[in-house]
Amino acid sequence: MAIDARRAGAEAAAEAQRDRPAMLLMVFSSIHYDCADVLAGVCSVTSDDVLVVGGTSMGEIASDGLGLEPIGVGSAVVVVALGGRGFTVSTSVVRDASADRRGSGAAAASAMEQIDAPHKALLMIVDGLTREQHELVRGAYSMLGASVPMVGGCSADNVEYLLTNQFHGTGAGVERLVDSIVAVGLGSSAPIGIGIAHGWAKQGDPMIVTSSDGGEVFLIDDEPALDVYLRRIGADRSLIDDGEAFRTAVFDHPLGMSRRSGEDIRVVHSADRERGSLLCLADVPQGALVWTMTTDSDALVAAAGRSCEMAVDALGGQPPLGVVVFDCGARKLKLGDELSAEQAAIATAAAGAPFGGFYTFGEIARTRGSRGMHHLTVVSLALA
Amino acid sequence: MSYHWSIHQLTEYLVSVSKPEDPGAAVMVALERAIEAVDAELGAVIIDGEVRGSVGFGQQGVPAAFIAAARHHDGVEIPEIGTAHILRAQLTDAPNRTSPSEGWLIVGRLSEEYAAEEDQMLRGMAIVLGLVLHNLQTLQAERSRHQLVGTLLEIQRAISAHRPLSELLDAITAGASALLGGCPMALVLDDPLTPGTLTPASVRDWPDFDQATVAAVGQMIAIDRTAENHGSEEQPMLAERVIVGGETAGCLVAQPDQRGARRRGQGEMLTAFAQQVSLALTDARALDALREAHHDAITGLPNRRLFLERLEQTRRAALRSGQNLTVLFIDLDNFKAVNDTLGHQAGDELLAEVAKRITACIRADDTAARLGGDEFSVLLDRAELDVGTRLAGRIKNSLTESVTISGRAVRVSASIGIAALTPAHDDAGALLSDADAAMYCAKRSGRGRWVAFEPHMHDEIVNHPNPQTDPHRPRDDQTPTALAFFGNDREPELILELDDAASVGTDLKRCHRIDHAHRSSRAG
Repeated sequence: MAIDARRAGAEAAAEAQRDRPAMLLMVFSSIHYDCADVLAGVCSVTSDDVLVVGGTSMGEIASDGLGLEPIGVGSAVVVVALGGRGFTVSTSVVRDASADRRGSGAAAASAMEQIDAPHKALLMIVDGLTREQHELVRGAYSMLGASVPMVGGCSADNVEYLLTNQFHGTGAGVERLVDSIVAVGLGSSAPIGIGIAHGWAKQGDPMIVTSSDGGEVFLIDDEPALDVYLRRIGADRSLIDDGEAFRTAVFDHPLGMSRRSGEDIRVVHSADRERGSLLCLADVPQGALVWTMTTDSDALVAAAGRSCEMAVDALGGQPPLGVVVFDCGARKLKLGDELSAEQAAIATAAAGAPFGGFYTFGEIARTRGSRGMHHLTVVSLALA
Repeated sequence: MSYHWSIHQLTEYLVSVSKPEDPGAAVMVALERAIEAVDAELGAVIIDGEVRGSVGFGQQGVPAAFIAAARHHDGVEIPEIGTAHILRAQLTDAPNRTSPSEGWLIVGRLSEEYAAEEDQMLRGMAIVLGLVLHNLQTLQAERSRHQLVGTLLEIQRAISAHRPLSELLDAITAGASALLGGCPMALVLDDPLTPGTLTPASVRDWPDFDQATVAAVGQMIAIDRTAENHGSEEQPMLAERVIVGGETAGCLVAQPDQRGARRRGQGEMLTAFAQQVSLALTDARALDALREAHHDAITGLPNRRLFLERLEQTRRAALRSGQNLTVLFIDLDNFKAVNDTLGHQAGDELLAEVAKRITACIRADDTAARLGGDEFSVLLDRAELDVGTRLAGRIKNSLTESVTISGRAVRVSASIGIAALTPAHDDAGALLSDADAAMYCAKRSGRGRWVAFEPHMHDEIVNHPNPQTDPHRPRDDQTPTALAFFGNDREPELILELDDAASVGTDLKRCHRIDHAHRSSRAG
């Protein structure tokens, strides 16, 4: 059966806006759909003055609001609508983000300029294939400061690592972008809750990154990083000849860097056989103390519930109107058949409120400290 | 060895901070890394009274209250943000030094106050930033950075590789000496047995470093946190305090061979290095509480818990790499009799002495532990079975010499079981169990013997599960029938005869004090 992308976009957007005027739509679309058709469908049922943002995904997350049946099968369109009294929104878009990551992040923060509300947050959707995404987040923080929390995720394209899109526009028309930051300034008269959790634990002895550059790790304990890593996970170089097996292995064993408030996790997304290096989407600093990390389904599911609980708890007792979830795509692959358990945990924590979101190539959340870029993590945004 | 997060942040920080080619960028990188390291929201670098960089304040700029806040201020109110706990560290520690980069690195955290480790780490970060800024100005950035990073990585690896503290400290003085062009280097620390006095912990290429030098260093740092040009004109010294848990714990001392600006550069390098020493020692001191939980109070050896943890780690590593691993299980043959007849304090003394003798027999990389009661174990990494049997022999021989307990000479022996790792051992307990079984067989065959494990040994134990009913199992409370206590002239002075049927709480059947003049007679 051919996929009717336009119809999918129209139906999802119509359902999200049913009987409720929206000021912002967040559209998360499977890469299997033609995004141009999806967005045309969304616009066909959306007023010109409604802001539209979003991106492609590694899977979609939603409750249907009736039976809370989860989807997340990787071939759907999810539309989250935000509107109503007490909310203000504003958007900005920064193109060619990788040319000046820090400057782009700072520019994206301009979405907050029009927001004057007792509670604020900056939501960002970033191209998941832009390396060193933490620099984007640092740039945004340099403008926002500690008074504005950040939340968001990185667009994805399943596990093809070829092209992801970010969406920005209005009901009159939405652009499909690459290498961009789409930012939403959120203002609310009620508290805004953000939750972060991951469910991974350290495994084995620590190692030291003795040579690296950005996200490329050359040496671990003075040996080629690739060989050390493969040895640590009980494999050899033949693993990198089998793409699917390699992907499974690296998602089973990400790296965790020693930090004050727990490990900062990094996904190994590829390896360079000739240089003996590992490539991660985010920086792995020279001198870092790292472990391979491990988890199981129960821990992953529990983390999803915990993340949503944290966000809901931060609403100060007010019931959530809805929850937006940014969940790492690697967790989705790891959960496999138990995806429904994760989404059930989110549903329970959301206390009956609708939720929607997508599986990402990276998650953004800053509520304390200054670090805001995460991986293999579940980030939840609760609104009241 | 713990892996306190703070000790490893400094090297990451140095790598990041020393990459930019201009001071402004270096300041911003330093600020961002510093606040990320301590989960702070706010930071500022103040140099010569000017704000050279700030993070976290948004559009409002750095409030004067933040800049003026004293160290460890309880809280400074930051408009629109909240109450921040302040921590500040000076870029250059020596007010009497002339440095092109004097200033402050200040961070503010909204959630909680700071621990001593964080204070120490920020101090190190400030010193490193000052060093980097100085080097950027003197165009020596790349070489110095490369040297310092390489040296710090070596030390970090020593820390994470569980090297003993003494080796770590030697690595630090070696690294510091290399950084300063191979000049004599020493680390003196507060003597834990005599607080308030300093003792050399590591000395490198300083043949005439003596107690007089230590005393001079002590006087020097008592006056000033850092000092230079002490000593004679011919042999000046640089010294930098080492701070552990917020208190001065000692000093890193160098005898530089440079003059003027080059010596100033060496001084700053030494200061940066002393921060790493401080963090390493802070990490080691922080282990004190952990040590108590993992070490036997009587012997100071690792306890069963720690031993099994280490054995498991070593077992996995050995199986992965195909290396050998051998374990000894040591059970004293007549300990209970000593404990029951001479008292528990005497028993503790005996255990402590046995532990020392076992430790003296093993290699530096081996691990000896007290498992409990009168049982000890030794882990021999990268050792085949014959290494274990040779060690068993050495331990046996070392125990043949009498042990002085409460002023009396006591002789003990031990039964030793030896087992080598095989792929069939799926956990540490399995390997230790094999060594235990071998020990059991050794004990059955007589006192003071050692036996290597063979698979049938477990069957023998199964067939005689209750040692009390095993007629062949010697009981520590049953035999020996006598303990001989030797006087200084090595003639028996006191003999305790024990009832053959004695149970726990052995009753003395007879006790004889031998009249040396009538050695041949034994009164009943």
